[in-house]
Amino acid sequence: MSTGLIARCAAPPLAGFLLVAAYVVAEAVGFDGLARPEAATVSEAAAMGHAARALQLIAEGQDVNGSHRVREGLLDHASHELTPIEAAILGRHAELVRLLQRSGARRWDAARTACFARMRLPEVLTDLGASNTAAADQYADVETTIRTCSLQGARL
Amino acid sequence: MNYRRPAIGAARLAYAVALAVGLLMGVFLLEIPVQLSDSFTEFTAIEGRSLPEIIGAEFYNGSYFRPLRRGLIKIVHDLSAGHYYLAFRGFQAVQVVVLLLLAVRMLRVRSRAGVIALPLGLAILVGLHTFAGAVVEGLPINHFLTILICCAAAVNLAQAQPRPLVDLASIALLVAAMLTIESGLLVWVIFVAAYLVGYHGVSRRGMAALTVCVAVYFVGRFILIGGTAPGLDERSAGFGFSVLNPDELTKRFGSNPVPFYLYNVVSAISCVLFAEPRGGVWAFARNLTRSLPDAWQVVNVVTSTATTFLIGRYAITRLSSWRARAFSEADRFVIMFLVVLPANALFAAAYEKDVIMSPAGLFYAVAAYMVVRELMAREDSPVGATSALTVAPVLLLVIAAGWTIRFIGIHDSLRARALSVRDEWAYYDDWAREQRTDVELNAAQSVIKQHLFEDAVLRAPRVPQVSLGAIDALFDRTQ
Repeated sequence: MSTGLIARCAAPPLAGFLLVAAYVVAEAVGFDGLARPEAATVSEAAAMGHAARALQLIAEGQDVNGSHRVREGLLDHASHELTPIEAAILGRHAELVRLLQRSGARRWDAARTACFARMRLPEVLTDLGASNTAAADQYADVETTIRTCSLQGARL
Repeated sequence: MNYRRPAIGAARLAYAVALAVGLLMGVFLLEIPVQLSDSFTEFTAIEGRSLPEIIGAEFYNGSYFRPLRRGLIKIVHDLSAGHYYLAFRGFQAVQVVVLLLLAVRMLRVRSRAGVIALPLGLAILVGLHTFAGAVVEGLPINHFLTILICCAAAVNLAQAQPRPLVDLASIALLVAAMLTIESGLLVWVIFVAAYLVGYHGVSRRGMAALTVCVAVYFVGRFILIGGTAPGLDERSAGFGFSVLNPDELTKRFGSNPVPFYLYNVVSAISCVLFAEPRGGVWAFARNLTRSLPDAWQVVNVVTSTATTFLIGRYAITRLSSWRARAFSEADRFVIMFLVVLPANALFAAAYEKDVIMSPAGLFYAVAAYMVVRELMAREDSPVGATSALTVAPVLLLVIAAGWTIRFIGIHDSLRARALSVRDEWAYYDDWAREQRTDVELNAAQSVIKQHLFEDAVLRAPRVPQVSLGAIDALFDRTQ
């Protein structure tokens, strides 16, 4: 049997199996080179839409009403200090906004949060107790949203 | 090495490879918590009820007839002693290993060619989109996976030495499969196909008994019990380029559902052969006409089409031998695939779902393996140059590379599933609100719910989603 035939037929699936197996072993001993970033704060989890991770971090004691860092690359190219509700809005995760409210999120900067919602996620305006008027037809990007809402007087 | 000479070493190596593939998939399965959708309600349904009570009630479940499905869930549930996650996911991992070992056993790997073709065969079996639904979903026991095991076991029994015990085991297997889920009837089709191609492990009398079992099933289910087939109003289904909801289906096909059933049967066959349509939706064709298909769609369609071409090419070269009823080992499996494929598609008539076609997918993988093995063996033999079947080297490379991507892709899907199931549990309240019937939990059910919730959200170690950058686009993340 020709080596070429063997190589064409058996080598790719064998290589695929060995790659997956090697990755599992490497992961077991601590390698995380190919892992997507894991949320370190409840705001990061909210920004990424990772509901279970958000609840896990809240259960571990992180403040659902406090501001937490969101690393660069998760929402846009910059890092931000955001409450989980704000992060969920900027990440456009409406269900997560409601889940955070059910999980104890009570306090937020009303003007700034409503501004975020109008530009990024109008469907949660009523959940936030804000009027559902003047919502944007198309949602803005994160950078524009934060800049615009800051210019409108909200804190950053 | 002469490929015809029995080689115990080759068989052992084949089992070792299958075991390794199964264990690797098991690692990924064990990362997934017990899922909420289609699964938690099974826990609430069996809680506080005895096994006979559960099985008995399932005999009268209208359009679905799956008494043993819930019975098996009850057995694993009771044996789990509260360790639901470990018990159910462990059970699924064991099922995958058993399936792969049974599949390898029926392949009778005894040669160098057989061993060399095996990684590709297993990559096709595991990487096929029809198989994904058997492992990605928990339910909490995946009955499609159970049926796949029954199908592989049926071939093994058919290949055995004829003995009364084989007949008895075949009957028990068929009854268990039929009472697990409707597509368990395929086990009978497999026994018949196997008998026709020369596997006479089940005697003629045994075959008659199996046929009587099927007759009793139909009489019992549709005449004595008064069961019905699923209607159009039960679930959404793909049609053309989109998914139609039950109201739209009823409006469009309510007066005459036959065209819709025919569409589903044809779609189901095409789904196995060409990886298109998926779930009844011709997404690749739609994207092709409107813009560009996704990279993973191209990989799936090209790989499946090339593999189908290979099997088809082989079948054509062997037609004259088949007419003379002279079957090689590869012929037997290709013919069994050709019999199982349309029979399996009938079970998708009411609605086309990829995983329904998983038994046909199993035989597709086995047929492809056999053809590749045949190709290798002929290459090994002195008459290789005059062999009727010749394949362009690049075609073999496309097939092997494509299935490798799909093999890696299913593991990527399992990893993504671990994440999505956790998030699913985080939204338990929303899920409970959206159920057609109120989810009112008693004290015992609440304890189970809390246990599963904590397993998924709070306790279970989170595994990271992996990213390979641009290569991610090659993986089918819809499965």
